[in-house]
Amino acid sequence: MVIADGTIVPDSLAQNGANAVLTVDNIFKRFGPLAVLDGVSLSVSRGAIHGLLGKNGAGKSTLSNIIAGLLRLDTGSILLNGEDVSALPLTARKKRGLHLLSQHSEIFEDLSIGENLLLPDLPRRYGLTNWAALHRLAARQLESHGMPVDPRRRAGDLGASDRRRLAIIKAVAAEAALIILDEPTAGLAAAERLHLLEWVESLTKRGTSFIYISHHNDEVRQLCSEYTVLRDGKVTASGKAAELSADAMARVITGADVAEFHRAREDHSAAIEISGLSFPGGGPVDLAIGRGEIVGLVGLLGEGPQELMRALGGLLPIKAGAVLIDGREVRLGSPGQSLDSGIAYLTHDRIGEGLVGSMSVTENLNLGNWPLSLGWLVSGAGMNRRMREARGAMEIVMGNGGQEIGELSGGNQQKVLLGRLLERKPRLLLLDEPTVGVDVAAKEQIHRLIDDATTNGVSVLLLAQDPEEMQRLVDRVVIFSKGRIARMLHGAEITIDAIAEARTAR
Amino acid sequence: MTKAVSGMASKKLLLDNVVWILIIVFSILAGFLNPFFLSEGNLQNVLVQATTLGVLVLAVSFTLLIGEIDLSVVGNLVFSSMVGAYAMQQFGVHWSLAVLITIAAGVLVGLLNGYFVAYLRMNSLIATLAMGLFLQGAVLGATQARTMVVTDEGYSYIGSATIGSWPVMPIALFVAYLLAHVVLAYSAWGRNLYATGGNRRAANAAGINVKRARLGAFTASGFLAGMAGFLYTSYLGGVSVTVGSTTLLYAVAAPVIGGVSLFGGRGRVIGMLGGTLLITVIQTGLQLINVSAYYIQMIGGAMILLAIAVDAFRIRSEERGVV
Repeated sequence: MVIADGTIVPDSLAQNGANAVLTVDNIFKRFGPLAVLDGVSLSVSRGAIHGLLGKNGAGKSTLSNIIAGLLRLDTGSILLNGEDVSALPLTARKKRGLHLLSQHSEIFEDLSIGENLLLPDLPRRYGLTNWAALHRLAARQLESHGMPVDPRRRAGDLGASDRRRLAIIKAVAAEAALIILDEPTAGLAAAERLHLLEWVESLTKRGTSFIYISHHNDEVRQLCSEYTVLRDGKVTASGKAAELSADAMARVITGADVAEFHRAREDHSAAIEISGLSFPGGGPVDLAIGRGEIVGLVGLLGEGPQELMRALGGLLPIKAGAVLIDGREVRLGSPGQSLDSGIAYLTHDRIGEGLVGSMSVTENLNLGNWPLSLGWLVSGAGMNRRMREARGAMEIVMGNGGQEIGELSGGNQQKVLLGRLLERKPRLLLLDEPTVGVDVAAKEQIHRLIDDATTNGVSVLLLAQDPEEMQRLVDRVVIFSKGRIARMLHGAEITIDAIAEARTAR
Repeated sequence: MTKAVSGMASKKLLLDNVVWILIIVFSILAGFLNPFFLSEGNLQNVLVQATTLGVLVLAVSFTLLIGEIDLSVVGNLVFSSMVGAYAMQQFGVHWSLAVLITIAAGVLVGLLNGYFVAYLRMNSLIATLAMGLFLQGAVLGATQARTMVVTDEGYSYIGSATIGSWPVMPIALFVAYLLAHVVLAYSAWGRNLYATGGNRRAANAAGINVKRARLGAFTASGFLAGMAGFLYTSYLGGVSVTVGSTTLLYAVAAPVIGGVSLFGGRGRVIGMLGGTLLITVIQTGLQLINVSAYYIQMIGGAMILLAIAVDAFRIRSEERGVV
C-alpha cells in the first residue's frame, strides 16, 4: 500500500475476490449534472465487517442504496455470491440475503416485538395467526442472538439500541449474507454503543458479513477488518483496517479538494438572554448568547438541545421562563410569533417540515412571508426580486424560479430554506443540522453564509451531528445532560475529540 | 436532452388539460348522434345547468386544497336556501336581505365545520358527512318534505331573467370562478391554503397560521354552498329537500376530474371549471341522445371512473418523471 498526498492506492480487487460475498465493480451514478458515484469498486469478504467511510455527501448513502436496490445504477455491476444482482429489485436481493438497515430502520411501533421479527411470514394455523407458535419462535430467535426480551412487548417501547438490534436480528434470522448498517450507533450513549458493536462482532462468527457506515473513525478501526473510503464519489483508499493509522485515515477521508471553512473566534457582547426556560423534554435553561456569536449545542437525542431549539422556534410549547432580545422580552408560542420576534428555526427535516413539495422554488423562498401589493395580493414581482437576490447571494444552482422545489439538489433546497429565514432579518438563528444531506461544496457555502450572517449581528444556536462541523463553526459549546446545561467548552477546549466525547457521555 | 424535456413538457400539458379534450370528444360524439346538442340553445342549457353544480364544486375544492373534504355542501345548500325562503315567507323580509340571510346561513355552517376540523381536530370526512345528514334531515323534518315555493321576482331574477335570448344565470358562474381564481392564485390567503394543503408542518414552521387557514377554507366552502343555495332556489323558483344525492358525488368528482388533488396542495381553478363542465355535458348529452333515464347514472359513473383513471395515469407519469 502506498500513501501519497493523503491518498492510498486501492488494493486490487482480485486479491480476495474468490472469498468475496459482495463485489461491486466500477459503479457510476449521476443525479442530474452531478456525478455522485464516479467509478466505485469494492469487495466484502465473507464474515467480515467492512467499514465504509467518508464525509457527508461523499456518496456512502447513495452507494448503499444502490447495493440494496433502492436506487438504480447508471453503469457497473454488483455481484452477490458470484451472481449479478444489479438488475434485480430490492425484494429479490433481500431473498438472496442482502439487507440494508438505515438509520431510521422501519419498525412497527404498535406491533409486538415478535410480530416485528417474523413479519411478513407469521406462523399460521387454519389460516389464522398462531400466536403461541409466534411467541415461541420469536423468543427462541431473540434468545439465541443475545437479546433476551419478551416478544409480546410493544416494539415501540424498546430503546434506541434495542430497536436497532431487533432490526439486525430480523435480517440475520432471514439468513442474511450481507447486512448494510448505516450509522447504527448514531444517537447512542458510549456504553450502549460499545455494547452494540461487540454484539455485531459476535454475529460475524455465524458467517454474516456487514458493510458498516460510520462517521466515527475509531469505531471503524476497532470493529472493521477491512475498509473503503469514499470522497466525492471516488474510492480514495481501501484495504485492511489494521494497517492504517488513525492520522492516515483522517487524512484520506478529508482530502484537500474543497477549501474548508474555519471561523475566527472572538468575544461578543450579549444580545439574547434565555432565562429559566422550561419546555417539554428539558429545562430550566439559562443561556446568554452574544451578538454575532455561534453557540453549539451538544447532547444525546432527546436530552434537551433540539427541544430547546424547537421551543424557541415556536414548535414546542414553553412551560415557563422568558427570552429577551436586547433586554426586551419577546412573545413566543407559535412559529409565526417566533419569526415576528426575530427568532428563526431551520429544521433538520427539510422535506417533512421545511419545504412544500407542490410549490415552486420561488414560492418556497417566500413562503409565509409573501411580499404584498394592495395589502392582500401576492406580488409576483416582489417574489421574483427576492428570488434573484437570494440566487445571486447564495449561489443557488437552479433552472428557473417556477420549477418545483423537488427538482433542486439537497444543498440548493437548503439554501432556499435558509434564504427564506434570512429574509425575515432574524436576530437569533436556530440551525438544526444545517448541512444534513448536502454535498460537500454546498456545505462549505452554507458555512460561509452562516458566518456572513453573524458578521451582520445575527446570533446562532447550532446543532450538528458531525463534531468536526461543529468544531469549525462555533465560538462556544454548551453540553446538555438530561434536559439541562451540564457544562460549557470555551476557546481551546473546543476540539473534535472533546465534542465527540461530550456527545456520548452522560 | 432538450428534446426529451420538451417532449415531457408537451405530454404534461396534454395530461393537465385532459378534461377539456374529453369535453370536446364527448360533445362531438353527442352532436353526431343528436345535432341539437351543438346548438346555441343547448349551450345555454349546459351553462345554466352547470351554474349551481359549479359553485358547489368550488365549495368542495376549497377544502380539497387544504387536504380535507366538505361533504356537507348539499345539506348546506338545502338548509341555507330554506332559511332564506323562510325569512321571506314568514317575516316578509326584502329579497336582497333574504339573499344575505341565505349566504350567512351557509357561512355559519362552514364556520362550524371549520371549527370542528381545525380546532377540535375532528375528521373532516365524517364530521361534514354527519353535518350534511343533520342539515338535510332537519329541513326534511321542518318542511315535512313539502316544497317551499319562492315567488319573489327579485329573488328569482338571476335564475330566470334573460338578456336578449341569453340567460343571466351563467354570469354568476363565471364571476364566481373569476373571483375564486384571483383569490386562490394571487392572494396571500389563497397561497397559504395551497401551502397548508401541500405540507401542513412546513406551512406552520414558515409562520403561517395553519389553524386559521383551515378554518378559512371551510368558511369559504360554507359561503359558496350558501351562494349555491341562493342560485338553486332562484332558478327553480322554490326549494325542496330532495336534491339528488348524486349532486354531492358530482360535486366531489368534478374537482378531482379537473386535477385537484385529494391530498391537498394541488389544483387549478380552470380545472375545477373543466370538471364541472364535463359532468354537465355528459348529463345533458345522455338525455339528448335518448339514453333511458335509468341508465344515465350508470354511464355517468363510468365516465367519472374513466376521467379519474386518466388522472391517476397523469400522477404516475409525473412521479416517474421526478425519480
